[in-house]
Amino acid sequence: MSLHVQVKLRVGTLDMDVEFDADQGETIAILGPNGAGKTTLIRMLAGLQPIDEGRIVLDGGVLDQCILGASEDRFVPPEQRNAGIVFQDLALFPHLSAVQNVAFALEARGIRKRDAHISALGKMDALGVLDKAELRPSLLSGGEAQRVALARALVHEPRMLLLDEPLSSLDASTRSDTRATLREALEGFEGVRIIVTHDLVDVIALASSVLVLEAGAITHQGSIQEVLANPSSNYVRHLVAQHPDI
Amino acid sequence: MTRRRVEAPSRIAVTLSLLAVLFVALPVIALLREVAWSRLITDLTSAEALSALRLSLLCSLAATTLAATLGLPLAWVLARVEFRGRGFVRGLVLLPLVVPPVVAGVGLLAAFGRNGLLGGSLSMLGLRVTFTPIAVVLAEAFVALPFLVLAVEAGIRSIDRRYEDAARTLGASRGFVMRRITLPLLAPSLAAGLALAWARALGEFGATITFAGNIQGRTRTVPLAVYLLLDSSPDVAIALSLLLVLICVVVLVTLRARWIGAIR
Repeated sequence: MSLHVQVKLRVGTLDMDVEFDADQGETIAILGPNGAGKTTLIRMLAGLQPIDEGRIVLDGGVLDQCILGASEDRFVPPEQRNAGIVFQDLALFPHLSAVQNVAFALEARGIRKRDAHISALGKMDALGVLDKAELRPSLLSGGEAQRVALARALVHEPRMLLLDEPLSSLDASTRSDTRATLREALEGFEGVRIIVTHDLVDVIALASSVLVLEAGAITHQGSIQEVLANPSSNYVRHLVAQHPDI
Repeated sequence: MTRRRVEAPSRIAVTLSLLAVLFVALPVIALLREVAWSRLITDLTSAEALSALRLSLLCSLAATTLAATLGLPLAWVLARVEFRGRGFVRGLVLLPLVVPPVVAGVGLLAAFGRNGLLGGSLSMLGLRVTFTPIAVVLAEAFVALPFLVLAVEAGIRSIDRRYEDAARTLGASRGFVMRRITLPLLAPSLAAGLALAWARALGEFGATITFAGNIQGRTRTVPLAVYLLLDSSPDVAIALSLLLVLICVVVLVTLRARWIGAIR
């Protein structure tokens, strides 16, 4: 499986012009300061933000295509893209229990409630939150909510897994724990994997290659070693300076 | 226990606040004093009272249904669709809230009356609206609509769009998102809007008497009966008033519970 992205988009003051490829079996970390367009990029991949120009192709199938003068513009709506997304603040449905949250994607595909719940419980068991199944999201701890959100994003076996700042809301002690869980989940996932972060530790622990996004443009691209060894932007230099041990 | 130092409120403010509370409570207390408790059941089950109660219940429920059928989509459009003149439309919908009910009745008469704007078309269809229960329902729906639209629009605005976005990416069609995410999240505001609209419809007087008249068993709702019976059989009028107050209190208490539930 592979993802090809070549898009232009203007939202508000953000002017995006981005091109990259993601191959199966690699985890791409998208690193960048606030407002660089990281979340917008995830929303474009998810189909929540249509592009102005360019194309997004997953496995040879066009998800979004908008080429000036071309007649074959296409847009696959979010519900048909088969993505698994962990949103920045998780967005767990507050009126549903944890297991109902996880089973949602299966029920949306017409799977019977009972079967959907059995699969959901299995996924929650694998992520160590089986005993939280009946709780509402408001009663979950940060780490538990994170695992439930991950289970919800994985239960329908999506073709791409998109994680938007998956660890940013956690405190330091839960963070390393959850990072380990996340690493396992990413390694066990077959499709395209993208993780948005502004934490260099996440990049090193979870990703195989990195893409630095600044003000809507890619400023660095390559393996982690390459990017860190030749920082040409102040942002990356600053990040490296903050972590002298790396 | 720690004690916080709180600046004492000014005496004038306290006195005026007490007066305000008294001002609201006094009529209710006075009403309770007037009730002929021993004959309450007999009064409430008298033919006059029963016919008014039955009519009021049916018409107010029909009016609430009508207001909800029209008001829900409108609240949706006002909350979610950006269009030119949205502020104007919102203002227009709130008009029944401030227009004197009698004037609303005159307006409805001018629109749906026999010689009104739509009167001709209605009579061609064999429909007569004025002085029928239909007029009662229309008058009540007219004044109740803003309550529903206001409560529901605020509810829709307070729903975080991220939940609907997340649901779409999980494979849910628009209809599935509506059923499983949007409507359940909207339930507290919807209940509040329905309760407020129903209470307002139940108490409608001015527009009803102007547009629908005051015919026993057909258009004489409880508020009209209260006004009429105050001379001839004041005990029945007061018994019915007590009932209306009780219903309003129940609505308010339920709303409070709902709203607290929603905040949690």
